[in-house]
Amino acid sequence: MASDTRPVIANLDFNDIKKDIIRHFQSRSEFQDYNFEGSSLNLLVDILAYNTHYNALSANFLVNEMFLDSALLRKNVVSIAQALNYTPRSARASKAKLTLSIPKLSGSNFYTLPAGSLFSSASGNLSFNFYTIEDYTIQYDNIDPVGTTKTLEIDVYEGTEVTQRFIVSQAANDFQRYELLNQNIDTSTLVVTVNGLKYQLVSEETQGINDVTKDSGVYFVDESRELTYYLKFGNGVIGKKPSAGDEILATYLVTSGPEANGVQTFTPNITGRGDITISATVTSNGGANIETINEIKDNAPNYFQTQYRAVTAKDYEAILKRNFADIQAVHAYGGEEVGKPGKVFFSIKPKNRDKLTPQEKLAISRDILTKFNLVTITPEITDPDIIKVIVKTIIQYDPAKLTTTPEVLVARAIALFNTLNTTYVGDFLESFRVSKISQEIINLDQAIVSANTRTNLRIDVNALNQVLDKPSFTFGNRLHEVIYAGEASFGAVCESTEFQRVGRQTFSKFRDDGRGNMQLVDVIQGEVTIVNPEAGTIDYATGDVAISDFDPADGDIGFIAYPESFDINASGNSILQISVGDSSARAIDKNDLISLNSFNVSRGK
Amino acid sequence: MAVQPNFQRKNVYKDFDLSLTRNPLTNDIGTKTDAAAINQSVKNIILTNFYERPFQPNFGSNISGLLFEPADAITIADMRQVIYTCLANYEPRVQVKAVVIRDLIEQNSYHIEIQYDLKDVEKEDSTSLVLERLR
Repeated sequence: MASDTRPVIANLDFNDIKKDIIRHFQSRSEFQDYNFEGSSLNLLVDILAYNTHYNALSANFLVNEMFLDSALLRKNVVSIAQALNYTPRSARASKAKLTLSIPKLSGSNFYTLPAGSLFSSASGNLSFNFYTIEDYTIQYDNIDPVGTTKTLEIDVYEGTEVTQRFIVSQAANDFQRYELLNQNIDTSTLVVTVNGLKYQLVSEETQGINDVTKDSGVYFVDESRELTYYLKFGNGVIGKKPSAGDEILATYLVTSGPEANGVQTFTPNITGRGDITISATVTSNGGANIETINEIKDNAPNYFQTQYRAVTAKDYEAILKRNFADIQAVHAYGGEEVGKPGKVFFSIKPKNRDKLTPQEKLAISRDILTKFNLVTITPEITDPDIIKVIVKTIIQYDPAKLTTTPEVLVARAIALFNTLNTTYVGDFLESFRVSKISQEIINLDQAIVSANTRTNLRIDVNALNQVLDKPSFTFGNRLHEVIYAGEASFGAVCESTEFQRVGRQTFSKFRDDGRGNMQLVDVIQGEVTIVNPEAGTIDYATGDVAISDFDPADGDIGFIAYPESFDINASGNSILQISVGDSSARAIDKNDLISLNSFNVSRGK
Repeated sequence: MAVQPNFQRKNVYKDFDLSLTRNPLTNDIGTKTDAAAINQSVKNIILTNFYERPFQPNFGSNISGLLFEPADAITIADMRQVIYTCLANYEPRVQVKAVVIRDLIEQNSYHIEIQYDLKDVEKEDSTSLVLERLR
């Protein structure tokens, strides 16, 4: 049977294409020398194959860049997202709340702190400038004597204030665009005036264009291909079209993003008002870099689904992620799940911290949720239950393959724990699987032959004024049950760190007794004395722990338990986090049987 | 049984002429057959530098790189070796018998004659070319 010489058009690789062309043309009688590398025909085939390969790759790239899932270039991802009515979030300036004490001056009953007032600050080796972006006015009574101090609460934003000026030319088109020439602009700080009149930003999440008429002073903002932004004005139908000669002023902050988070001290630099002092400060927060490509890919379809209204739990998650940048993970659930219908709960885990401050929760409720919320629903922000996973790994290495030192292997394993915290666990419902982490450790170096990893769980509770913030909590996993654990030599299944009770110098701790009770014990010079044999309960099957009856001094208490399975499940409102400070790794020569017998164990804390 | 006359034998190798000349009778592109096709191929291989062909960086002889070396016996030996190697690699139809290189020092060039056996057509043949620094 004659071989099939029809051309194959699915090949992308140069060599495959070339072979295919040769196979196809060899059946022709005009020429024969296709297969000889030196022949002129082979040269011609090379050019044809190169051309085909080039076009195939171009087509492949082109098609990939047409879809949100497969696009790689930011400009294309942004463009596709725009078709979904989604404008990627700009960088966000870190925001701090300051309370100013402002003495009354003679001759005036009010004082206006103008937009653009500077507050300088420093954090470590870095210094930052924070500005007000709106005017604040304080009013004094007529009868107040000069020097009377009143307080004023203001928001300041980190960045460098920039003003750009554009003059509208004769040749200006409909929807004329003007480019803001800086990267890392926080577009939420943008103030645009045309001939001194302030224009309003129209974005998808404000009112859209429903209320925009031909006389509306509005502008739009689009991201450019160079990570800068365009201002876009109307066409005389949708928004007012600026006339030739009009002066456009755009003032905005170019921000350092997250670098300025956590700043606590500020110094006012207000011209002519050296008497203004700061009486209270809320640490700066909320600074973030520009939305990444992956974030846009995740957020744009979700946001499109929400249609800028929060109806389902997923809608809330999408809106929160877009509008509050300092979120590592968010979980929204309806109140009906926890017996509180009419409410929707949000559990938010901020980046690099365990929970939000009360001020941040208030700001999110007031500034974000109420704008999108259905009127009959009350949003409520809660803290996630952070379950810390303590990882203890014994690394066996082959000294013959070791190109570095065992200490370096240990350091790399510890660094891996840190990395996995954000890439592997650290989100709601992200479980911890011990085989996965062992595999990651083995992949760290060719000399590592095995990694035996055991896990313990830790939950921190805080005591304040003799009250625990979480008198009952759950490890969310079945615990390793040992009868009469409290009397066993290896210790209990669940044990707390040591703490002091009010009015005592000695230290106490909790431990379970193996029969479902949490004991309160005093530890004096290593000797354990039971104070209350039933100071709480523990359910080994569910991991639930409830503490009652004790009087702790203020501070944190950690409860550490070891689970039945080394795979840890995350459920409900809990987030798993590898506790790098508590975790450890030990590298042992695979031939050192004495050390292996001592340390390479699979149970125990 | 009648013996087939030689002229009825079909060409074993058939390539087009890289100089892209026109056949005056058919107005089609000129062709090279058998020994002429192989000779052209030999020249092509020797005159191709590395990285000239797409995706085949090692194809060719890269002999032009040697033209800027000192014109002495060592360079000539190198050129000979290069020619042997590239033809062994890329032209299976010939068995190189000798490579004669003459240094035309007045013309700043080398005259190269490659003598070889054409394996399939059982014939000896040779190709000559002159390599100059400017070509």
